[in-house]
Amino acid sequence: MASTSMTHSQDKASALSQGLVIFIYLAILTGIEFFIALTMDSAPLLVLVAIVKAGLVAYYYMHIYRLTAVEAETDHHSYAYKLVSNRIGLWLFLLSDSFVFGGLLTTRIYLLGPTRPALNQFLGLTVTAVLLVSSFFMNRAETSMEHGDRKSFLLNATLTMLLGVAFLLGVVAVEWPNAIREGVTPASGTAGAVFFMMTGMHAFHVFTGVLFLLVVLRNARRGLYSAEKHWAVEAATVYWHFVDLVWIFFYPALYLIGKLIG
Amino acid sequence: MSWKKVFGTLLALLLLVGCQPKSSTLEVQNAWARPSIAGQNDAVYFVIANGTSQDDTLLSASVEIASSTELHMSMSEANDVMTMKPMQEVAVPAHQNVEFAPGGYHVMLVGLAKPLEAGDTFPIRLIFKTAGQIQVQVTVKEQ
Amino acid sequence: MDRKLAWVGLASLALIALAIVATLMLGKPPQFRGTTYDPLVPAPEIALKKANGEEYRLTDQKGKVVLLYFGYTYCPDICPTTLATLKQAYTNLGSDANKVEIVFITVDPDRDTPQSMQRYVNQFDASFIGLSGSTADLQPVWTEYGIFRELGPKDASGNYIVSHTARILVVDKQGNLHLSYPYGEQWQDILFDLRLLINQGGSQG
Repeated sequence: MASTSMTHSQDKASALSQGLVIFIYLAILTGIEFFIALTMDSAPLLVLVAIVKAGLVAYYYMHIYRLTAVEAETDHHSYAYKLVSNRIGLWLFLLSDSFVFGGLLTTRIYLLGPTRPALNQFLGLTVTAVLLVSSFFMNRAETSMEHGDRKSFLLNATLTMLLGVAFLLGVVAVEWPNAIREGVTPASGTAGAVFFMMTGMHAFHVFTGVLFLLVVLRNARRGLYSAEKHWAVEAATVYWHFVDLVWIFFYPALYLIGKLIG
Repeated sequence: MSWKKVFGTLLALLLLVGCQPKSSTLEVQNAWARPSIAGQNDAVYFVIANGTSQDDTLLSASVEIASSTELHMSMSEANDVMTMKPMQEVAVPAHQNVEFAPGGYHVMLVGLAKPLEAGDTFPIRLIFKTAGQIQVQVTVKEQ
Repeated sequence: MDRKLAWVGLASLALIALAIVATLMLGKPPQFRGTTYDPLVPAPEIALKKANGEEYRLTDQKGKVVLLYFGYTYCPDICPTTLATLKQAYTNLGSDANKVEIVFITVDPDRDTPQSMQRYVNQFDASFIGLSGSTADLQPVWTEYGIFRELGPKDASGNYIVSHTARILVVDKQGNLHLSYPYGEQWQDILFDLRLLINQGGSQG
């Protein structure tokens, strides 16, 4: 029995349907979140929904539980042994990265408190949906690779990357100019500074995620990955979902929580 | 094209986006006015971006589609009363933007000769002490 | 579908539903974003001529949320900006728009007729109502609603500026003065309050 197969013992069809169900849950929760913001104006509820969404992403899309699946492997040169330490390394990196995002979030809470900048709600919801759909395809891509379906991996990873580019364009080429037209600029005050710093830092991570996917796609086309050995695919996937997870908190923080300020 | 070249290009693009060139002239940007009906008054809004190292002053404005124009500033007095103050001139300090926007500075158009509808454009001439005359197109729009 | 997954989904939804119910029961009711009148006072009567010659009576509007704004048609900046804000809130109400009425009352009856007021508001939305009348008709309205107005000096061509109170006043469905907004309020906040007021069933807020 291949050592990696322990972590994904599901058959392909049920793994794919699990990804779909999680996507539907996340979509419903996003809808609930938007509805809460429209009608109830309650920050604690929005935080709760964000935490539930983040939990679903971390468990089902980022399979954080694999960290604990340390196998009794003594051969320090084996792929299985390296995989365990690679995973720990990646998650430590994500942890350090989340301090940056956590710092930005704290900045937002400290500087803006119960207020938020005047942003286009439709655009915010649209880019959020785009990123969520990209996570769905990312999950499909990884599942395909785990079951050795390279063709499906290439298709789904390409879709993910294109959606990532669409998200980037939506934020940088549409939302930023739109905000600037509305008077929210990087220099227009604390709200503008916080908005551009948060979305800018996040967009930069999406950009690196796109680059990561480009590399992985190229290597996959060359046949460098297999169902048993595809750490780079797993890393790109977990990183991509991490960037989505950050947006799960940034979206309500910027668009939904608090009273509008001019 | 090799992958190194692709990355190089992307990186170069990223750097370019980072270093937006700063203009070294005085510019009038984003001029707009609300739709209005003939005979009525209206206001023109814009941003004066003084990229030069010299202070400048906006002295007057003129349009062909209204009988006269005035430089105004809306301001609030006590108890939510809003009023407008005619301005003889508006200072535009070096390296600064002066914003003409609803609720603040605006060029008031007195007695429009024709209705203005969303999508229309018309020229406005602004006279500055140092930069001289600058003419820009004003776009008529709701917001 | 995987049974565990179904449980996870149900548990998430149940948790959030529970939190929503708890928030609704324990939390403060949603707060208005405008300034609230405390206590609510019955809105003084307004009876002025509309452009079509009919009389507009505020007391006939019970059941509707009425937004009152005072200004004048020669106003180039503050009044159009405020009316554009009201139009955005109004348009975004969607099908609830017919439960809201937006009324623009002159502070400059020497120059504004009911017809010119109506023409002016039609630029924003034809369902807005413009009202004018004689100074004698209007003076009690200004006084009772606390609207200050002051005519500026006339220039060579007879134009003058009118300084005036630029607050938006909101009369609720029961005919009480309920909220007001200073100049510069965001349309999203007005929309938020209007939705609350529309859905308010009881006689008190």
